[in-house]
Amino acid sequence: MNNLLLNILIISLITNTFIGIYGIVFKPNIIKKIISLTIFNDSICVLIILHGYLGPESIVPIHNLPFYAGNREYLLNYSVDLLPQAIVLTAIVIGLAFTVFLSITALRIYEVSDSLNLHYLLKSEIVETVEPEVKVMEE
Amino acid sequence: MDVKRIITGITILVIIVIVSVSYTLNYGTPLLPMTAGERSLRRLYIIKSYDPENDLYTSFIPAIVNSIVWDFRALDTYFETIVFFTALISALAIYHEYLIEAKWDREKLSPIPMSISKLILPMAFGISIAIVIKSIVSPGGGFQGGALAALSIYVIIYVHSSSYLISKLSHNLLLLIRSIAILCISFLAILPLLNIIIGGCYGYLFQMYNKPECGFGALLNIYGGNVSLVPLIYNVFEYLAIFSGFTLLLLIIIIGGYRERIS
Repeated sequence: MNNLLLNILIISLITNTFIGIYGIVFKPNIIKKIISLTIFNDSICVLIILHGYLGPESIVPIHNLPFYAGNREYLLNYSVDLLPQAIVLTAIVIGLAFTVFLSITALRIYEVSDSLNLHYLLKSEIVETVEPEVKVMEE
Repeated sequence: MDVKRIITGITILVIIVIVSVSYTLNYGTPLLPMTAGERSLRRLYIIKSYDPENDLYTSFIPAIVNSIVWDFRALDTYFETIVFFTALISALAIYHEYLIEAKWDREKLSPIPMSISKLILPMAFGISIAIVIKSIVSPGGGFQGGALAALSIYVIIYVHSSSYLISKLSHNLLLLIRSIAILCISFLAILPLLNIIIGGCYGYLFQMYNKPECGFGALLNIYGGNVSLVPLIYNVFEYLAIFSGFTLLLLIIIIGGYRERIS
């Protein structure tokens, strides 16, 4: 049962990742692109953390004080892998900085051009097909 | 529906199925692709993070993730903080005037959420500070605590108003806190190296531990053993940096949103 649930979790995370990629590539709205990027980033982070999981008996990677040798042996046998956690911590902060920068840029773009639709902004041929969506966003 | 869109959707679905099935077959079915003993880096971190029997190669930090963040990969964490700082600076460079014009605002909420916020906010701030202080011996750290404190600030902005917050906590003060915190982290990182010049003994970048031939350190004797205060010191400054940075960004985005709606 535990294996099945983990499999479902892994598959849903991979699906989330591809949903994020789809949003980044195909959605013309900048805010939707940023949301997709966040979904993509978070899914990858959880997937990396999941690699550190070592079974249902895993424990938190903290040395109990007062320290004794048996304490360390217990950690070596049962503690989760802590490197993915440390790496993901960095990834979260970088992702956040990136999101902040993109949000601010999007706000500025909206101020200047009154639209967040990339097709509209680039004045491409697809403007006609996405024009109704632009109106909704402007409202 | 557009044929092109249907083909794209089906292609993505097929990719998801292929990747998921292959991933599950490779890693999912055994579910534990590697046993605990095979991960040598994990073993190294567990042993070296807190090993009082071996003074030279240990960081004296029981919370192993914190020892990785502020010792083994401290430079990485430092530059990560700088990246966030740069993102903040870019935001402020564009929207500095929003913080000066406090007229773009809305009315307060009713007394009920205001009373509830008075109960919740001290608890939230208390927990955020506890997360930072206990980071030596429990999970947590400056970023987590700072993010929680900044979210409490969001409650203040939502319940009272952004101009109320600016009147209590000016953006110049927040910028000052932010800059001082970043400078303190930078200074503390090179402080052990200054010890080489002044004391004439060994020093290690980002580390303040009592090592052989180096009497310069911040160790505390608790629970019958020496515990390093390094993560606590760094986490306090990171807490201040993240808290002030987040608060400034929230103010910019919220005031910007009101401004757009009003205009």
